[in-house]
Amino acid sequence: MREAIPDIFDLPKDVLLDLPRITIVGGHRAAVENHRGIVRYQQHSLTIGYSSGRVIFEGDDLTVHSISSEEVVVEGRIEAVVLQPDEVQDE
Amino acid sequence: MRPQRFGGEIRIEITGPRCEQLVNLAVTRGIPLWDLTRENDALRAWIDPGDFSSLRPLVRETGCSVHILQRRGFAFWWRQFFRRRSMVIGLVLCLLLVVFMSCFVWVIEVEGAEEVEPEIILQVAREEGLVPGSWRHDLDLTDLARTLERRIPAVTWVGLHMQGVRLTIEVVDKAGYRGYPSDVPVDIVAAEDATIEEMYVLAGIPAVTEGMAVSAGDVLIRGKGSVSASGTVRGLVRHTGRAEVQLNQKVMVPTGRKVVDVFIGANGLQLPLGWGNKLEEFPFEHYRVRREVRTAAIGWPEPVTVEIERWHYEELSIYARDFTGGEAKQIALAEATRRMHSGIPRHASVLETETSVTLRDNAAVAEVQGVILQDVGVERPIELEDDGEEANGE
Repeated sequence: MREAIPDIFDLPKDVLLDLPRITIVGGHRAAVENHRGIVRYQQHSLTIGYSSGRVIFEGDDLTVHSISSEEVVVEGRIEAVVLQPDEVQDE
Repeated sequence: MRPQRFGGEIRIEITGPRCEQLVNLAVTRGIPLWDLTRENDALRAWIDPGDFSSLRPLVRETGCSVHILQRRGFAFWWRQFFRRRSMVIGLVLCLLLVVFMSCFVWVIEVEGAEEVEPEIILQVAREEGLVPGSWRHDLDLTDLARTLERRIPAVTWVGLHMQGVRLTIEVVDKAGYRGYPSDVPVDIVAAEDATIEEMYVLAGIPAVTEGMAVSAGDVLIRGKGSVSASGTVRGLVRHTGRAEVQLNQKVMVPTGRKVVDVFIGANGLQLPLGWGNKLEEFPFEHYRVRREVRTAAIGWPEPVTVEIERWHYEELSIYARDFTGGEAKQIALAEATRRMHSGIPRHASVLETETSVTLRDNAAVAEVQGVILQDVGVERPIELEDDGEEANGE
């Protein structure tokens, strides 16, 4: 029912369902809105949590350009972006 | 690269097993972090200096440790600057000194004087109280300019301009003025051997006619009694330039190596600042010397002229150079032409030139003769005999 409401009223799902909005500019900048903070930050990967999973950025020279409660901006050479919803992780 | 914040920023290093959690907690408490990087086991980030103390409870909560790596920004620089009190006092005193010193005239220079020696103008200016070290607000520039005009008969106009601590005396001098005060009657006489070409007599009696050959010193326009001769006499004058260039020459070329010796001096005393006589062996076999002197007036109210004297010793390497006959002729001709032209006064025109270049005794000899149309009249005080003759005539 909850997931049907945005379709019925033609509303943005990311707002109503608290889903992340990920914007990638080329391979060197990405912004994640509706995030739940940094889960893991390693030399070649950066994992950012969201309400129902996590998004993993892989690459080199990854830097968190800025972080606020609304948005995390990642910079560096982004080679892969992996979405890991919680269900998948549980399997 | 993000621009630095005006209020400054602090680079912190977060270490511990739960670094990410500390970052997340900071963000939820509204503490912004930026340029977060991973450095081995630690996270590094920039933070606002005002937010640093807010991290303390989070450090306790997460068990991480945070320490400062770097502070940067204008605010830190400013704080550090004011902590050095003597430097601030020194800076303020220095500024005050600059402001105070700029209330004086330190440099006086003369522009536009072609006939009158600038030193004469400076001498009169000194007598009128204008010396390096004068309090600039005491100077009435308009009044001073009129006084200088009145006292120096050779100038028609004087203008004084103040720019910073530099006072420029701009002068327009009387064309053809030879340095006699206006109350001394003068004749106009020939400055050199010439053939008279044009005469314009404004006052006095013409003593020669156009086409006449005159020798240096001959009277051209005669003054009468207390009336000075006045006018322009132009004549044809021969100017010659000679030069000789040897075919086998020793040419000296600077190698680029040089040493500079510096002396400072005042009131006839001189103190070596450079190597002076300390150098046991002079480094160059062949060299040329150039002396450069800079002066500054220091002190108040009686400034002392301090001279900084630099002697530039430039090493030369000497090698033999053989010119061909053609090359030597060309160089000799150019030099002879230059020498001929250097003797020509202003406002003269070259009517014709004759050149001759010959090779003799292993050298090229060039001679350039020019016929120049130029002013030949100069003023000379009327001789006593002249007065006598005129008195007899009356």
